[in-house]
Amino acid sequence: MVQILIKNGLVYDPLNSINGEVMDLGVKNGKIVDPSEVNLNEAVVVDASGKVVLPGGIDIHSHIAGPKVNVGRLIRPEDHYLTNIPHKPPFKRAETGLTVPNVFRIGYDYARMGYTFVAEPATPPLKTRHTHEELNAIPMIDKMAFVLVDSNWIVLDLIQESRRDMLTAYLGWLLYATKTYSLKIVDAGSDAAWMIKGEGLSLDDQVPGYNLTPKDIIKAIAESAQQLNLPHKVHVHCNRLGYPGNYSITIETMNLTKDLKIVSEGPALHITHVQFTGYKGDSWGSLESGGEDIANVLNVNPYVTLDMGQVIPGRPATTMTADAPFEFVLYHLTRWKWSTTDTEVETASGIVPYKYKKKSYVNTVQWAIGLEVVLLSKDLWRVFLTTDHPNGGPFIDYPVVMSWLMSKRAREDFMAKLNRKALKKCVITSIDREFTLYDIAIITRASPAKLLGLEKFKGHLGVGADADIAIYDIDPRTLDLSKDYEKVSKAFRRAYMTIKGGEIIVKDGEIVKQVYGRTLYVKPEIPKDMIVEIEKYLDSAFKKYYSISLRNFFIDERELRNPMEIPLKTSLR
Amino acid sequence: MSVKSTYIVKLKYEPKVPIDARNISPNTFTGKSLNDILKLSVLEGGISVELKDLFDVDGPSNAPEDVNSIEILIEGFGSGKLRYIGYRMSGGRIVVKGDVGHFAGYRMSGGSILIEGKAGSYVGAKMKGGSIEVMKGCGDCVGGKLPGEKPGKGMSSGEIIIHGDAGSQVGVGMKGGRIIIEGSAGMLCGLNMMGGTILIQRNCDLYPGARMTAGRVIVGGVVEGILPSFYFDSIVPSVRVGKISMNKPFAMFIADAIVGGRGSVYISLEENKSLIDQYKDLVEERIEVE
Ligand SMILES: [Zn+2]
Repeated sequence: MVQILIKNGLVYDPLNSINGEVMDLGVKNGKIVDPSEVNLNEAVVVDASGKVVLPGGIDIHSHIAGPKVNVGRLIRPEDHYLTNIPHKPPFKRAETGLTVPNVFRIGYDYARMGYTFVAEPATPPLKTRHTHEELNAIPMIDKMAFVLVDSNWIVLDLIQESRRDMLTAYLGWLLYATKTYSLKIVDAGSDAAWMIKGEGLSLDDQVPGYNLTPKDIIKAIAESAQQLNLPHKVHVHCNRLGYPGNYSITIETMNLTKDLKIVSEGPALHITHVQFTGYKGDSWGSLESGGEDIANVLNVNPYVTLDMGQVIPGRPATTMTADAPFEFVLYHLTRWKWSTTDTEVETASGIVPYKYKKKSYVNTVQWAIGLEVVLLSKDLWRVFLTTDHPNGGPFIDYPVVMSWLMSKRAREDFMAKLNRKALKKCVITSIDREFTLYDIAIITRASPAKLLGLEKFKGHLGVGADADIAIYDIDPRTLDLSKDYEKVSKAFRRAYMTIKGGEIIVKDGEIVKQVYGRTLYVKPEIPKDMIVEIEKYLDSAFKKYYSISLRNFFIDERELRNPMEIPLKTSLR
Repeated sequence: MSVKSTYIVKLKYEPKVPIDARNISPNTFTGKSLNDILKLSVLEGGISVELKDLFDVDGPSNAPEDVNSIEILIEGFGSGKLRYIGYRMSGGRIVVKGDVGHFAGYRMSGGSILIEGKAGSYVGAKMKGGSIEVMKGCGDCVGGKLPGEKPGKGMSSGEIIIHGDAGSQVGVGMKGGRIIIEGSAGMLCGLNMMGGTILIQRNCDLYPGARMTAGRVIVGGVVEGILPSFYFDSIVPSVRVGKISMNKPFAMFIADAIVGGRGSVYISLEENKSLIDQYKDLVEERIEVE
């Protein structure tokens, strides 16, 4: 393996409190080492003077793999035939697709932006084998998946019967059986209600057939996550997503942490793509931004984290979510094409192509919400940059979002193209805050690593960390980041150099080497007698509910290209 | 009328792979010297080569500035592998002395193309004007939109005449213009149509006019089946499309209720007696046949 010496780069590394210091970095055997350990006779020396050096980017929420992504590709041929880049021997594969790119473009484009780690945030347990097949095929990045559990009949049964230890054991078993990393809740209980009654649920509605409310489900799963000591506890997509007035449900969900029995450290709930659940007002016509209210709650509740789900007006998007009731509504607004699926026992999903328009009143409010939440939050270690790719916009627009965060001028120039009436009702117009490169390094590198519990070896540049490094050709000492925001977003779109696991994979924004990253999953420690009990329970539950047998459900480690197991000490006895 | 400058473009050998020949068009030839024309790029199976590697080109040493005075004759064995002939052309004339591959006249806006053999799929797809004539049959999606696009993104103006049979989805998503098929057509002709006219002089496979919202589909021969989401409107004694008039009675339907459409589908009465009887039973509607 090559040794690399990165000289004189301007380093931003929030986990080690390094804020723009000129220093050298050494890379050896895929890890970061002290520069003195690099053997200069064999090392590649990279002159990074006048350039910014950051840890590799980490995306905690981007739909990059799984059955719904593939169906998204199938129903959108027009997304592919005009965006082809042919293959280039000897190693570079063909790229196609904008909103739902093929596996190669996903890996390449993340690498070109200096991102080296991505989490797929929703996979139905039964179809996770497919998700892993796709993750295996994505080059360049490390990856992981979160498993959907909120409308799973077995989960609902166990909560209903108040068998909490069994629930925890089952969720732990499920994480290991599907080789996933965290638990995902989408519109808690709604898919169960959707299949039976054709309706979604608010937080206090009763799940049909069960004596439960979505609140009970979120609380039970979040407490099991505490017991399992998951590094990333629960990833929550709030109820009534996409409905005017839903910001109050989001706030109520955030406040659920107050009733939780918290036993392990760190944030207890992650509220995802908060933009889609931050709508104030009682109809589309009177829609307003709930961004400020949500930011205020976030600032006083240390157990909650959230990501933006920023929309990109002017770009096509493909919405895809396990929130089937919402997609049903969206299809009837757009009336073009859609796909919807029921995954037996577990969840449902829908896929609808959509385009956010600059002049649209609603889309402008949506644009404001995501930015407001982040710009008004006091603790940047609990907010994250996402577009909920491909729901709010494609991930290749992250650099544009960064420029909006870093420059008031960028926001103002863009607002000139948006709907004026909507902007009058948004506080975004009066926010002066401009993020520094250090702030950007926090929300795209350091805090995601911490949220996922990977801060020991990811998201920083200290000795011993994985050598995932991004170098960008901008110099904040000579460039006014606020004024020249276009140069900033251009630099972030095409990294000067990306290093993954100690290998140089991108040079001058071009792919120079293809590598395959690892897939991370957890193995919670469950006492033997509980495993026996849960497997006995599941055997009969599978016979009752599923069309496949328990034996065919379990995903073996060999089915993952480069598996990386994270063992967990749990508080199950 | 101005003097025509004619270029003869002849294949040197029979190609083994599809060739993207979108640069063979009056618009790319205008104002260029013969030498520059020979250097135009062509994709041979995805690999970029120069026009002269594949073709002998014979014609005036300098092409005129006016597109309309350029005529291109394409000949040679294996011209059926040539795709995108006349891509985005706005004037002039192309004559193919043989077959041609997919996407002939794709996005053209003027001028004319004559194909003396068969054509592939997507003849005149998304065209905005001009005319295309195919002497033998052609493939699917004549004058259509591309897969996945919204209805109405197909052909919007101009005329396509096929002197043989056509494949399925004739005029899929078309918004205007005219398609005349002298032979028979495959399934779902006029699918997602939003305007314009399709005339099929002979037979037609299942479900013409499915999901259409406007425009006309006329079938002079036997129809394999029509959708139950059509309303029967009336019997008309004859139908006229441009200079062609079909002097026999047609049953006229309003199509397609499933998308709230107001298009019209005409079906020859004599050839389709049993089908119309079936339909009558289906909708329990009285259809008076004199
Ligand atoms: Zn999502």
